[in-house]
Amino acid sequence: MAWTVEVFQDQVQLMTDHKGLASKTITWVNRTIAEIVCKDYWLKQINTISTGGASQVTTVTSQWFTDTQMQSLNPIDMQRIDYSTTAALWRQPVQDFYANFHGLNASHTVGNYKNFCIPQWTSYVSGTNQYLLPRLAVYPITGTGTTDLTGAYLAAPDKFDETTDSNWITNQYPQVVLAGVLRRAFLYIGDSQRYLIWKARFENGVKDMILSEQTSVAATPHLRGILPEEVQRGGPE
Amino acid sequence: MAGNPISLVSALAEEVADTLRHDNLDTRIHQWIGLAFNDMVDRSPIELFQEATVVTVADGDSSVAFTTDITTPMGATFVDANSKLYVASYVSSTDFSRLTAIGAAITASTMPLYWTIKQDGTTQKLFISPPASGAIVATVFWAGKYLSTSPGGSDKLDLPYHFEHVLVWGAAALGAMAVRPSLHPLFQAEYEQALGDMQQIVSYHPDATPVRRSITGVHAGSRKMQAPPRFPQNIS
Repeated sequence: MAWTVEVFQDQVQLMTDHKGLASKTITWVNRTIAEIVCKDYWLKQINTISTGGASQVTTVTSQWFTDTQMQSLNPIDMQRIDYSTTAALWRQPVQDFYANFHGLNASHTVGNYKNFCIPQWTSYVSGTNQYLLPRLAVYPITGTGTTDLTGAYLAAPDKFDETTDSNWITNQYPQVVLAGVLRRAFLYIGDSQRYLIWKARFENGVKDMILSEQTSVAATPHLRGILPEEVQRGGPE
Repeated sequence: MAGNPISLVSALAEEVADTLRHDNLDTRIHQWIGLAFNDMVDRSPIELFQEATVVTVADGDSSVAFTTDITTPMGATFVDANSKLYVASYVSSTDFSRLTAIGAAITASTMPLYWTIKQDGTTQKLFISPPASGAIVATVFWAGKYLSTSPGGSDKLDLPYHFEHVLVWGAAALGAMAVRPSLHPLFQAEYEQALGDMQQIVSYHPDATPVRRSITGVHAGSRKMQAPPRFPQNIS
């Protein structure tokens, strides 16, 4: 059985003894999931995207991945860019990205891509919807452009629009989501005591989620600094 | 469920009003949203709140006026007509004046070596040295995507859906001071925590590099980490 929005609506009504919170509950579930996502990142949320063809860029804020590709991906952050099958570009802060060129004869040379950064995010409008998508800069700006670029990015889950919606977070950690929603519900009602109780449950639940994810095989050890025991000791000899 | 489009400000305002359980807040709620947004921009060192503008320095010129206010410059690139990229060093406007006074050695170059931003009368301008040899297209990056006015209900802010909860907490915290003062500390704590989580995102980069360091100078309007000088200070 999936832990859908409807389940949380039922629980909120029962726990708060308030009817009429159903429409607010779907917003609260969405916001709670966004909070959980901001508190931790997991490999499960890292997806990849490919240019799908040669890409030779001539402007410094180029977009290798099309807006149409990106709009449904909910990128939070671009983690890495791979060039061909072996090379990963080095990500730099924007000012270092540019400053590093100084001393390289300050000139551009045609060659394989080496560094990338995200100098800005820009709006993209599709119909009545608007999105913010990362623009990417790469050095050299004119690459040989014969190989696909692949990006690995952190993705936010799709927001819920229907009461039948669910995702892996609600299905695997329904009680944590419920606690996050109920703390919002009790703040709305103005019951600060029960708000604090559910807030504590939410915070502790998130910590347990993080532990659970980190100890799973699919966790991203380097993102959280938690590694298997033998690696923490210095790695297998 | 497909994609997370940005919410209308009117939808955010309704959510804030719901959170505060107060329906009669009119445009003041938009002001809270605008104030909270600017606070987020000022305190979140992520690329999301950076902006870029492109200006062209004409052949033989050493400056060009900006059409937008560059609040906290972070970097610039210069490209010639052949898409050849030049990365000049940023110097303070004082050092720039010294450099242009030195003159000869720099003007021997045909590529931009140094740049700065300074006021020329009432106009904010980009200056490069030596002057452009052929038109040079400059892309200037700066931090601070601030709202200069209170947003309207039909506006959409430059904030992805997955960070909107931070804004809602921030606006609700401001509003709570007026309409639910006893709960204000709780709202404020939620906002600070959500903002803190958002700020932490910089540490999740694979290389954990700090993303935002402002360039020093008179136009550095906010308190960001200071970038190291890239030009010797004892010019003689």
